[in-house]
Amino acid sequence: MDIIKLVGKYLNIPVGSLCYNTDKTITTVLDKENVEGFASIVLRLASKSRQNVTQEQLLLSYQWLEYIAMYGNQASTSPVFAKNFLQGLNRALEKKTFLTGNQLTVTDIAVFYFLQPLVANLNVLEQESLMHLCRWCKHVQAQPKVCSHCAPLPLNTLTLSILAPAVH
Amino acid sequence: MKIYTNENNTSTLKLLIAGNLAGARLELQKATLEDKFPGPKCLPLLEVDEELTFFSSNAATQYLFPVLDLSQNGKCQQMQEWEATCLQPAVTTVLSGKTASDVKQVLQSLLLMVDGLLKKHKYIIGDKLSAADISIWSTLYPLIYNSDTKQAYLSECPNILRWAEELNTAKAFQEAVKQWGGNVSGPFSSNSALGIPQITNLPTPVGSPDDVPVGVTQEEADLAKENWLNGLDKLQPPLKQEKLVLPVKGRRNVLITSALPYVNNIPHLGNIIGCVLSADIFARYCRLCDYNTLYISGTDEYGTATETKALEEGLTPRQICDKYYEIHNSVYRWFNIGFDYFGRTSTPEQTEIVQNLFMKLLDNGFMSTQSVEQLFCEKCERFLADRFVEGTCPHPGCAYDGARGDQCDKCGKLINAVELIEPRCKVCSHRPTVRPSEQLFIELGQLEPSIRTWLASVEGGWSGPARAVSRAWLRDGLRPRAVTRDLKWGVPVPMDKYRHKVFYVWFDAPVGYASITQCATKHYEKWWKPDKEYDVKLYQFMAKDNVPFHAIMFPASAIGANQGHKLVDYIFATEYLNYEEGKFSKSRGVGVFGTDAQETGIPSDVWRFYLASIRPETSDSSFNWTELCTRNNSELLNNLGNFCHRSLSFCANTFKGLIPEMQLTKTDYELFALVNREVVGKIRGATAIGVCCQLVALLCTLIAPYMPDTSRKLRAQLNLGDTSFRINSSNPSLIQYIPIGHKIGKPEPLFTKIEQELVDQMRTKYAGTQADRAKQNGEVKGDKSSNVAELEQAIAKQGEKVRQLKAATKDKSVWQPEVNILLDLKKQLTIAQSQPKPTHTHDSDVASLEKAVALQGDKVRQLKSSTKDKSVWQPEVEKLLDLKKKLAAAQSNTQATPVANSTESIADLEKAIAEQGDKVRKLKGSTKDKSVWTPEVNILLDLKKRLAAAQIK
Repeated sequence: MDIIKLVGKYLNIPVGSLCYNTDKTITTVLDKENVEGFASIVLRLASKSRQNVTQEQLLLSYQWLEYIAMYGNQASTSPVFAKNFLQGLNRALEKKTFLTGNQLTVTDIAVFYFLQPLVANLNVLEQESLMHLCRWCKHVQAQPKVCSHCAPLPLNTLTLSILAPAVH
Repeated sequence: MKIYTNENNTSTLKLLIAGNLAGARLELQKATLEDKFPGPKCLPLLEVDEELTFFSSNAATQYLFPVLDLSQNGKCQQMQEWEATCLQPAVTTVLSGKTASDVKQVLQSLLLMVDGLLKKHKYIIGDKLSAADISIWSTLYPLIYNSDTKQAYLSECPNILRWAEELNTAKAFQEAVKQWGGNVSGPFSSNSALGIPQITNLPTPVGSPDDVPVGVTQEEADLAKENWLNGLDKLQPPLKQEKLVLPVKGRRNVLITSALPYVNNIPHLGNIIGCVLSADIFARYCRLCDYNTLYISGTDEYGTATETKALEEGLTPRQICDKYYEIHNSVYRWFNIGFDYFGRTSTPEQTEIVQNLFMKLLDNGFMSTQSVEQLFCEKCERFLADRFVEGTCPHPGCAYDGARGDQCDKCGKLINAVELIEPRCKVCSHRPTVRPSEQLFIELGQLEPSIRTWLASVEGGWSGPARAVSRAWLRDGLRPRAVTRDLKWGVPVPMDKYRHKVFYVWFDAPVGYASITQCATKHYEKWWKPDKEYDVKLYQFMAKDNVPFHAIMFPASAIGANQGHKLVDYIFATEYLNYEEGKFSKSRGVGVFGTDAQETGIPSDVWRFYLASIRPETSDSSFNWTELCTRNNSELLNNLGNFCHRSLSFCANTFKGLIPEMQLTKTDYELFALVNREVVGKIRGATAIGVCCQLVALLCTLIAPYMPDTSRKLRAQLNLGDTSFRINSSNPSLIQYIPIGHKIGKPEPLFTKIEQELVDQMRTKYAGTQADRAKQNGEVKGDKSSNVAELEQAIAKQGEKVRQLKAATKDKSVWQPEVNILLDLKKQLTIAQSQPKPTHTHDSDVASLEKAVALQGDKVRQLKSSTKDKSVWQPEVEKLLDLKKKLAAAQSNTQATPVANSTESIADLEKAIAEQGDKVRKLKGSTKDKSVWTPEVNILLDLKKRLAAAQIK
């Protein structure tokens, strides 16, 4: 729920009144329509922000948001699970700048907000092993408006400082 | 396009249906979840091209069949998300058989919901087929087309059955099921390596990391202002450093000791952080606060271990101590350990103080005598300490022959030296006899009550490990403990009866602090037996294994002697430091040693910073090369180094190096308050720079105990004298360290970056034990000379032979080849001598030796065919064998050269083995003379061994 609010704040779009329905699925009302599910809400917000996305980007966005919707809960509660969960993201980001290709989309922002506490709990060595993911985090949090509500994550591993040098 | 999938995965159906509807050509390929795909381990995976893959079956379905979701405003995606997060997990859980009743209920209600949708419309969304239909149909497929589950779950859902049957008759669906080839009765394979998602699904991250920052209170801000304006004047008067540091009346006098490192080895990083570095940081802090500080330590030199080591290295104990004292001293000097005095225990002062303490204890009746059975070597005329006896381990099932008198290295059990089977003296191998020996014991039991009372009054300020260890010792009660033993290297017992005995090292080592103080100040009593008017506090630093001696045994001796001896006020004990994953070990030589740290080229300040930051305070911690470099690059270089350098550079460039005047406002003081909080961190223009420079000065002061070199560099850049940087310990806060208008020096970067390559290099370099490393070095160095020597020997032999042959016969054809060999050998020798690199030597050696062997072989064959006289060709055969042996030796040497060659050499070795095998087979076939083919077989075996070794590498 916090994540949706943050995404709304980032896009500067009202998110409606968020609540959980009987299936414990997050729900809100946007444009007088019921929108259910994390991925759906984020995608709806994105479409309202009039960002131009291709069909391909939309599907890739959906795929990642679905991933979070399916496994995010367990990843937040179990560090062991989180490790495998993050590995998946890390592998995907090995060859891509952003989740949906070479362009930043709202999906990156939403996923970043979700991952922030998980990545903050990693120690230096774990960060090293999730290098691509950390690199992506660094890119995303350097975008304007992303970290307006909180301090950026301290990502200063050895390899990262070579891959993505400190912003001076 | 390709679909990667595992067996019987219903999600694959989705893709196949969508593909058929869109008329796309799809290729099915078997895969497992462990295969390397970009992205999460999920199947099926749709690979459109190298750039674009979908691991989510729903996204893939939409991709393949997109026309259906153009105007639905995300409705289709919403249904699919519901399918993925709610329906799919419930169905999969039910199908896996491990079903709890609540999951069944969940599934029931989900199905009823779908049924409701299908009651209103023909399809899931309105009257058109959509990707959502495909997804839900595929997921429900095994449920619907298995009569058992159909009965159990779908009897109340007529609309679902109607809808499903309608779709099932469609051509695209039927074909897809055929292509899929799955079985509705399971078992089904998993979609994802992460397993089935939790059924109630929502990302709610645990615990928000942002703590609400507590604002600065007015009081804090006022205090910060007050300290800023007047703090400098309120600083305590500076302490004048005397040459001999002695307690001063009316000041805090701090006596700091770090555990005396045992002299018989080189200290490793664990030892350094455990005692000397921790103590040094504390000592430096105390000096900053203008406490009158004396920091001493030294090497602990007496005891059996020194005698053993001396025996090992063939030196006298005194020489060993001198040698290792120097090593210790230089290591600590490199680490910038600022001892006031680094002494040693083998001094006359030590003897005097120990004997004095002992006599007092004797007079006060705390000494008793007891006869102990001990091994006596008649040949050496002395009692043997545990470590001087070796024999067969008495523990059943072990029977290890080289067991030491105190412990068996093989089974690890403790041994009573008298119980050893077949004991022998380590020095002369003579069998010792058991003889009673009278020893002096200290009655710790009688002193126990006073120890307990004293401990209860002081242990509050001790570190956790120190308290834990000392309590554990007291729990078991104290027993008498021997203070003397039959050795030569130690403090002699000052009684005629015990002339040949010395004090046990545990008894004399803690006195070392006092004797070293005596060496340093000439008046040790002023520190160790202070007047009541003097405020002297004793702080001792050590690793936890030393706690019993400092917390119990020595205080007991001091209390027993009753001379007003200073007892320890604070003990700071650490746990152990591990090396990467294993343990540091002095005796086995594992880890990074003080001398190694020097060789890395990493500045000692970085070592100090890193070691101090991983100090094992409450639990064991690990040394890690990667972490060391990361901390250097991120914390020292990026944070500290950048801040200081930029502040000072800006000051130097913009204000000509003069500290500008500052107009401070309320927010600045609030900032100072925050800074002060950190001591117990946007301002405008000149003020900002001025403040930053002051902060640099504060940082410079604060880091001084940890990184003295860096602090010194900063001081030079700030252009201020040592005395400016001090801390008011009663009220530590930011003060104006630098006067306004002060001219600063030239700003320079403080730290340099450590690259990843160096890390890897270090890790390989310091792997294994010290002995291994030494061996490696030794081999590389040793090889060349031995080869040259071998060649010289060969030349001498060959020369002799040529002379003999020439004398015996005039037939040139007989001796000419021998001469050739001789010439060849000489050539090799010059090559070997001229080539500095051992690796090359091996190569040319092997090559030329092989050549020589071939030549000699030819010759032998010729000789054998031309004459039957064995005496003629026998020497030649011997020579051949000799050459072959050398060749083998040279080859095995080559093998010892760097690992880099190993891939190449594996191929070579395999080839060589094949050839050699053939040769052996031929030889065995042609002759029965074992002496002929045995050497060849040996070579073959040797080759095989080397191949195995190379492959392991």
